Formats: sequence, structure tokens, C-alpha cells
Amino acid sequence: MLALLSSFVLFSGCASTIGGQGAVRIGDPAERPHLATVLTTGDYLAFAENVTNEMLGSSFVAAWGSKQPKFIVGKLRNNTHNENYRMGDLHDRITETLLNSGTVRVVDKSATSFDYIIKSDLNTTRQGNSKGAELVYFTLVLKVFDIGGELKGQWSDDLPLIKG
Amino acid sequence: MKLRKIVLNNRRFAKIAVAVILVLFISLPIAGYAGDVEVLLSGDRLKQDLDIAHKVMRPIGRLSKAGFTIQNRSNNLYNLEYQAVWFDQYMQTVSTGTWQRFTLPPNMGKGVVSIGKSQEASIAVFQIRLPHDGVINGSNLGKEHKYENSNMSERENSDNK
Repeated sequence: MLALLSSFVLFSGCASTIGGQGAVRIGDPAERPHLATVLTTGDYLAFAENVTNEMLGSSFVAAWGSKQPKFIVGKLRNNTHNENYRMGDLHDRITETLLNSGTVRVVDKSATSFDYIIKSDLNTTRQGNSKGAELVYFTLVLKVFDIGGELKGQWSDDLPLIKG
Repeated sequence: MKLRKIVLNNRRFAKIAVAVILVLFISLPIAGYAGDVEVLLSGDRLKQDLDIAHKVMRPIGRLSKAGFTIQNRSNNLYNLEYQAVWFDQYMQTVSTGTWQRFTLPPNMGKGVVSIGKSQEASIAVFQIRLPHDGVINGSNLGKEHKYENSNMSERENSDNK
């Protein structure tokens, strides 16, 4: 009887641990849930999608034809109020998208032969009130310079996050 | 008869004619076509209030650019979100975009554009829906379906009033 009871407790314990996963669930990477007015990986993906939409749709890129110019990743500046944003992660998403599009080649910073440098800035403006409402406006600016230092293209994307 | 003689005897004319036919044949898909752009509206209310027009797919360099316009025919202000999913010619998913939010004021329109970020991307499917904010509230994690449904019905009820 005791063995039966203990096995029931044992298995019911397993059921609650393995079967129902408590409050944890698997999310959809395309969804962009926010628990606070901070950027998430979903926002990084959206930024990458939107700025590359603009860049790849521009006359600057269309003029390359079948050429695949070499890019290096230059300075990535985080001008936001939050120092924890990983600009490297954000830029990895952008270079991944550009690389997979087959329009560019990405070379290391140590390379001596390249055509363009990508630089980007992440900026915010912030408003809030005493009741805890908050509006944080994020702007990602992507700039492409040639080796002569001339700005050849600039594209941006905005994301306002509002906390009621 | 004279014209026929001229055509037959003039080799240059024949070459030009062949070139013109070739250019017309090649440029047919380049001119822009809507067959490979699909826009799916989620829910009867959106289908009733919104119009989709000017669907177009164009080559841009070695990539494809798909777009459409959406028109709000109602007096409701719509907060919506869309997602662009790109497929290759065999309907294999090439890329799935994130949900992008936008506002559509009453009786106003908006253009939506996406670029297939791979040379294989040739078919674009856009999905449009009301925002799924239910997942934002931590206490509602895992219950978003109930929240969304109640959100929808609340909106519909308020509209009916």
C-alpha cells in the first residue's frame, strides 16, 4: 500500500514537472513581447529587417549590379540610456542578413582590402511622468562610408516603446 | 506585297524585329506582377473594413521587392501589425519577418514593402492582424489566446455600440 502510494506521489511529481512546464513556454521568434521599455532580441531582428529593407532597396545597392563589394564593420555606438544593449549582437543580425542576400562580402577589421565601412548608432529619446508612464523612442542609424571617408548611404529605423 | 518584299529583303529589319520580340519576352516579368504576392487579413472585421490593392513584385538588383497598399474604408482607427514571409519557387520558407506594427487612421491608406533577402526568395505572403499585446503582460503568459479573443470581442462589442 505504501509502495503504491509512494509510486503515485513519485509519478504525479513527474507529471507536474515534465508534462506541464509551469510558467515557462516556448515563444515564437517572430513575436515581440515586451515586459519593459527595453529592446529585446525580437527588436534586434526587426531593426535588422527594416534597415536592410531600406539599404537593399536603395539605388546605391542596385547600382552594384553583379558586384559584391567588401564591407568591414566599423564603429557601433550605443548612445542610449542603457549601456547593456549589445551593439555587436544587433550588428551580427544586420551583417547576417546582408551576407545571406548575396549582395556583399564581409571581411574582418584586419583586412587591408575593402570597399566600404559600416557604422551605426543606436539613439533614444525618453519621456516619462510621475505615474510611471514612459515613452522611449529608439532609432537605429546605419551608415556606409567608402574608403575615402565619403558617406555613401544612410538608412534608419524607429521603434517607439510605450508603457502606459 | 511591297512591304513583305521589303521585310524579307532587309536583314537589318529582321534582326531588329527579333531583338524587339526578345526584349519584350524577357521584360515581361520585370514589368512587375502581382501573382506572387499574397496578403492575408486575419478576421472578418479586417476583411470588411480594409482594402488591399496595388500588389506588386519587382526585381531589384538580384533580389525581389514585394509591396501592396492597404486602405482603411471605415471610420475606425486601426492599430495593426504585419509580417512578411518569403518563399522560394518550391514554397520552401526562405525568411520569416518579425511582426511590424503600424497605425491606419480612418479612411487613410498606407504602402507596405518588403525585400526578399535571398536570391531564392520569389513569393511573398503578408499577414495582417490586430496586435497581439496579450503576451506582453507577464501574468498572462500562456493565456494569450483567451486574452486575444476577449480583446477582439470587446472591440467588436464597442464598435457595435
